[in-house]
Amino acid sequence: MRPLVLVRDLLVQRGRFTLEIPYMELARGETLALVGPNGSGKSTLLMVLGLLLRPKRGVIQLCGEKTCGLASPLALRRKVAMVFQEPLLLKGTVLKNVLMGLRLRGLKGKAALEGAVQALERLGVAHLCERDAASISGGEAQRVSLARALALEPELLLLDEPFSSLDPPSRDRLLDDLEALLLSTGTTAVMSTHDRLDEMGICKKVAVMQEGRLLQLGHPREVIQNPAHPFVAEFLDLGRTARVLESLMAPPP
Amino acid sequence: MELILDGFEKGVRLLWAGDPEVLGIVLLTLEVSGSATLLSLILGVSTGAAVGLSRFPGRSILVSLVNTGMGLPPVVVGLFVTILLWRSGPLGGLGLLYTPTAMILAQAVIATPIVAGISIAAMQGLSERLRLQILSLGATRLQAVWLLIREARLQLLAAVMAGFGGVVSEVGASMMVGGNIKGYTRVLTTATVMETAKGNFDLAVALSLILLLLAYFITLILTNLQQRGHKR
Repeated sequence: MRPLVLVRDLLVQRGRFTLEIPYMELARGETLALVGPNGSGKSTLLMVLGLLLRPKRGVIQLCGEKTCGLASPLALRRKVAMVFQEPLLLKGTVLKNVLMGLRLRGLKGKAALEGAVQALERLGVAHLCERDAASISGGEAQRVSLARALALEPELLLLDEPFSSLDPPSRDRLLDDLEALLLSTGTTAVMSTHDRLDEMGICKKVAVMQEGRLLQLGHPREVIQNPAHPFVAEFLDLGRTARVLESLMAPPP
Repeated sequence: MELILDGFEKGVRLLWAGDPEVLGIVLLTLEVSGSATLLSLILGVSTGAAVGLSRFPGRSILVSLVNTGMGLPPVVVGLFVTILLWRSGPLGGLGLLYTPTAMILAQAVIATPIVAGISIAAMQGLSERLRLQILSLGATRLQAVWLLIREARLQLLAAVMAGFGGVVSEVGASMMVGGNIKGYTRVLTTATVMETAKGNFDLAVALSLILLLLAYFITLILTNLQQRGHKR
């Protein structure tokens, strides 16, 4: 089966920073965690996949279409949705925020309204519909931001450290809900995190990055058991690894 | 103090009686400064969006020029607009000198850098990630710019208020390009200067009080618009 995302011979230059990915692919329905310290290139890779940043060289294929050389990446960009570290809600009500993406993509009237309300319900924030987006809490705002992205039913969902600005209880609840949502909708997702194992646990694949290079890509268990680089073992913290391994190997409830 | 009180009383009486000459002056002031502000809004906000949201060589030089323009002396503007519109000048054929249109042009030249300077700062103050977020929601470039302008509308309305305040109170340019012609190009500031020169202090005070009231009410309307978008 043709992968949904294919990256080959990618080179991105941002000032002095260089990101190089020789090869990477992601099948439809797969979830990938990008892990690595700050400055490892996770956000840059997400922006390139979201067609928000042009690479200097290389091939990126999304849904079977090459992104390089496109006169306008708009049509392809509309197959992708991105959630950032901050909720980045616009002025107006919560509902207006979720409707915005749908309207920008040409959906109008009742269909757009139903899509928006359904997405808000899935994230448990439908009761905030009429609230001013500036008046809700950080955790609620991040849920609205996720609802705004999921309402678009994207082929590919990109999440750039979506939990890092949340307090631990809000983060854990949202992490659980996101895991259930990704499973139930079968959405292909790439999520960056420097929180290592907690968030990595909800993904089927893990890519460990350092200073713009992809050190290892594989199933979490495979990466934890056979780190391909000393940095991978060091970064993944073996003490916590053992606990996650246990949970990964435990039979489903 | 007595002079000010007399002026205030006379101003109220002139307005209350609906003095046609004063009413004409007030309406022309509104028309000229309102049109100039509208023109500067279109030019200033689009310049602000273009410069504030992009990176190009020489950008900081352009921003510093715009910022310098925020303090453009009205008499200098008046001089250059007069030269441009003078019968033998480059735009002399249009026959605009000593018309309300010439006053609108001169006031727009004064207000545009004010609106543009504040707009550039407002657009630069928006997070780069917000622009990326809007693009990732599926906006075209133009839609993204429009949504970002809406996000910065609090500051942009402040820019409009500053622009209007700058032109409704200026006298040098209006006097030079309008000529203070009775019933045609006479506005509140030029009329005040003239009455002061003639020694009619009570009338000058009355006109200046009307000008202050006018500026206050326009700013009040704009402030209400601004604060409506700032519900918390």
